[in-house]
Amino acid sequence: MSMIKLEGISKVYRTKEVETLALENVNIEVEKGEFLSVMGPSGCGKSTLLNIIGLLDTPTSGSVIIDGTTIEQMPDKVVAAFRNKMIGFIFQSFHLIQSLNVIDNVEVPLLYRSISAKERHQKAKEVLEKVGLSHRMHHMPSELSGGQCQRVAIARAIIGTPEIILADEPTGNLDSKMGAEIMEILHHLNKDENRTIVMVTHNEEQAKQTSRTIRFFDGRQVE
Amino acid sequence: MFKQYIKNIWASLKQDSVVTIINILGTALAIFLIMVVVLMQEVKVLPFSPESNRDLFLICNALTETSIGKENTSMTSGRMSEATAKELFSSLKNVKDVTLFSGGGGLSKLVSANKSIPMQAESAYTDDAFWRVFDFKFLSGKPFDNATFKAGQKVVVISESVARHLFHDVNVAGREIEMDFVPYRICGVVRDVSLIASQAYAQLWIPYTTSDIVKLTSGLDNVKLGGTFSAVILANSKSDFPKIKAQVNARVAAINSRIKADKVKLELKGRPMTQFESSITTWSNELPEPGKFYRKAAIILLILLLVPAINLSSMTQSRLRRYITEIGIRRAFGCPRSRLLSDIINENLVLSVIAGIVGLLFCVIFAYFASDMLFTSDWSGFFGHPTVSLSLLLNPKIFLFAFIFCFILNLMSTIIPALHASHTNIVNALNGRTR
Amino acid sequence: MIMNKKLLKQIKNEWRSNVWLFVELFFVSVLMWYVVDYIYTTVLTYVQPMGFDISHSYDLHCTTLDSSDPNFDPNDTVPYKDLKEIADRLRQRPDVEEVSISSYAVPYSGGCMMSDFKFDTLTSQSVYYKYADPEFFRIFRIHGAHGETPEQLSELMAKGPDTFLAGEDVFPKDSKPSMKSMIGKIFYFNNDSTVSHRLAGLFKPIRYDDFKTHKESHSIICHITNKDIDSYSDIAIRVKENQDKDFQSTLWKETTTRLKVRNMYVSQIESFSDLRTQINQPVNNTMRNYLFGAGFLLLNIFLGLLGTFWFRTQQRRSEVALFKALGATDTSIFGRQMTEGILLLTIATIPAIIIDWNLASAELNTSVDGKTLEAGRFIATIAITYLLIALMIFFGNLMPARKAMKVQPAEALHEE
Repeated sequence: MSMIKLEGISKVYRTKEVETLALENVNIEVEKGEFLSVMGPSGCGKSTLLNIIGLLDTPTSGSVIIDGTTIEQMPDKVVAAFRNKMIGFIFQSFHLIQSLNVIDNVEVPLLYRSISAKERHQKAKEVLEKVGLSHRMHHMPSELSGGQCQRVAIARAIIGTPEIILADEPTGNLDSKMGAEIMEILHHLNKDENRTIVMVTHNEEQAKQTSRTIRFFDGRQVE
Repeated sequence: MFKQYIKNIWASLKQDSVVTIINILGTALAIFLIMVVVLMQEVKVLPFSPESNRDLFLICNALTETSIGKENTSMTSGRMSEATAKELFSSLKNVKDVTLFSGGGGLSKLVSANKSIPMQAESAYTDDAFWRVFDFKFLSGKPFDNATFKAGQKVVVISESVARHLFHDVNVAGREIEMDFVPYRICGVVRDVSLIASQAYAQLWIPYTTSDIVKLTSGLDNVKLGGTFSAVILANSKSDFPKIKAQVNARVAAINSRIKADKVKLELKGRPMTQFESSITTWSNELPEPGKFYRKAAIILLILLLVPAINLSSMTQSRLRRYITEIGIRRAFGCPRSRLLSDIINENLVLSVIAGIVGLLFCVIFAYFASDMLFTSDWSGFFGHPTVSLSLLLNPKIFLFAFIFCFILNLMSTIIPALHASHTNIVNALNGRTR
Repeated sequence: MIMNKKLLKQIKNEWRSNVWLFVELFFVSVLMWYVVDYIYTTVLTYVQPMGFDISHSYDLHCTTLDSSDPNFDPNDTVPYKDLKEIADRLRQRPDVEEVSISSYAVPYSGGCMMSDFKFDTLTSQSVYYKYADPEFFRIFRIHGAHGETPEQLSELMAKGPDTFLAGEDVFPKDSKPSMKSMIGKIFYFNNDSTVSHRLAGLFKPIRYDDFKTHKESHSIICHITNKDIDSYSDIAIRVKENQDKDFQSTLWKETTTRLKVRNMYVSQIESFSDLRTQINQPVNNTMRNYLFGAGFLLLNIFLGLLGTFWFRTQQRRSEVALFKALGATDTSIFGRQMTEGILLLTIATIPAIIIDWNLASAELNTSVDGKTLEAGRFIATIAITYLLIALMIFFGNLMPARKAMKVQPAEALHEE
């Protein structure tokens, strides 16, 4: 059974005058432990695809099946639980909460599980060590470099031990050295912890190092 | 989570200081005005000396006579005659005490001592039970007892300020004063009574057996049940109220069967009333109508809440826009809508309560110093100035009211923006769009 | 004008963010109008001429001794003699200008006597029947309808024990026969044909108190006779202007001595201005409540606007920077923001006026002499309401608009 399955997914954006077809009849299967790259030119729907897999957006038609469960017409509480337990998101622009420090940012996913503050804090410390940022625990995001910010974002994405990690151009805003560091962490998560990763990227080199690459053009999968 | 709220509020204050401060001011203003309105009514109901037993009072200060079976129906209402009051309220079962008295303003006397400059003072004619029903604070001497009352001795209890005006001293029990040119002996001096204690208020208290006031009667034709007397019953507990009222109603029925031949009917129109009912009734032939009062109060409070709620709503909406990205992030990591909703509302509640405390504080200070402006009822201007003590203003009931209104105001002003924010599409939220 | 059209378009496009503001302005406009209507009508009534002068004047009340009193004189059975003697003693004081005895007549008195007043086929309802001596007109400086001085009115009253004077508006101006023609004629009160009264003259209308209109204060003043005088009557005193210092306390000292005649003594001395304050208390209380309400509403608008536009200024930094980069002046930026606020108010006022009109038609607002909707009053109250709220919008927008003015184009565009 595949970890992620998309069946006949279409996404249409409607405004008063314009209808934009972001995705058209997409069918994808991702096995557990796969590291999938998604490539394609700008505006062809890659991010939309990731958002739908990550349950951040609903498709206009088609079904999303995560780990055997079809996510359709479910109450918000259930979907939120899925997001919390199964999925970890890494955004291109980091999206850290500016008013919170590093460790508080990392703890965010655990706020929606019933564990004590002490346990939360402990887990956050552990995961920050993993990404090599335990010495910056109490810094504010504005005091960190781009690479450090993304590492915090990764820590946040994995603290809840989700099965799936979704990364939307994770190295897009970083220089090559930092980008390499980030990729190393992602590969480690994939190989040593068997996490399923779907990554959107522009970088051919990075895509080559992943287990599979799919390409998109104008909302349709090609190749 | 509470720590998180405080952190967020602090961040709000630093980042959006102007808007957050306006938020606080707006809430404080609303709570201030609402509490002033609440206080103006509560003052008529909260217990304080000498009416500390207000919760256990049943008050009757009027009766109504109506002619029956005639072409022109006439009606008269006003206080009771001593005889009628006695017939209705003496020797009731299940009561602690009953006092009959003639007071409540309008009976002023010319008081002088040792040929000093005379002064005008409000007087009340009472029985000895008066001192057991009301808890006066005696600074000198003591109240007159049953024997003194029965004997019709010319004694008087005077208030502190009367004593000071005439003698420049409060320890004057035993001295003599002249009231309307008649000598009386002072048997006690009490702390001044605030006008707000509408039953017990006076500056001189005299046994009613010393005066002709007892003989004054009024009424229809030859059925003179009216006079100048009021009655206050002190019950043992609220649960006795129905039993007491039933006894009184039985006595009213008895009187009515007696006067039926004269084609006159006696009605007490819902009296004896509780302190609350008394506070919402103005006229002597008026039935207490709590329903009407609550409706009017609800409308006023609704307006007082609605206008600031709309205000605060728009400001909260603006504030939430700032956080829309953060909201998106939280949702992306599994925060359910309901949790987001409650977080927003609770965080705002903390802010509201802080603002509410500020508002309440201003309200109390204002009420204390401007008690003249607030508590002068429509007719009391004739008799002096109302005073209100701090302990009365800082009553726990008042705090409870303030908190409840903070809560309601917060809910009213946050619910729509919060719902809007929590239902925003996550992707849009992350990108800072509020659709 | 192009600016304003564009502004209107912008407001329409941004309608979502303006919804709250619009709702608030509409709601407050309606409430505010109601409050302004009350205050406007009340103040308008208040400033009408009273028809009398109470400066340096005092009201005295007497009491009779209790029969149980040792000093009680059982032979004293004519209270009016006692009262008259007290009045005479007062008249002899060097600091007293005039003394008058009356019943149900003095201004701001608590008691009154009301009945219908008829002549021929004309009837005027709810007319105050006042009883006073000729000196009454001199004390209260009441003037005649045809230019007569108070002294002349006094002489007219003194003509006989059955004379009375009437306010010139007791019957309408255009009544037939006219009030002027009734002078000298005989009247009967309360269908009592045994007692006749002669109308000796007309006086300029007297208002009952500061908040009753002329229509609600129709009165006649009849010559007081001995049988009308009892211990509840008023003794009114006018003190000489330059001698009115501590008059009350001076007089008090004599209450136990000179101001006591047989069974009657003066028990109450109050200045008419004090009485006036007391009688006005109920309306003053209501006014106070309404003024609080108005202040509250206006403050809310002020705060609301300050908050919303402050935030908006921050949001629009880049837009403002763009305008500036394209050549807009600081003042025009300021003006634009101000105009936005006023435009919103104007749009919100239109439905508000409709609601207000309906409220007035349904007689749900303040009624003055039975009228709730009059052109002049309606226009004035709507205008005052609009101006007051506009003022709040101006002040609320002052800081945010100034902040917008100060935006540095380069900085703001850089942030974008």
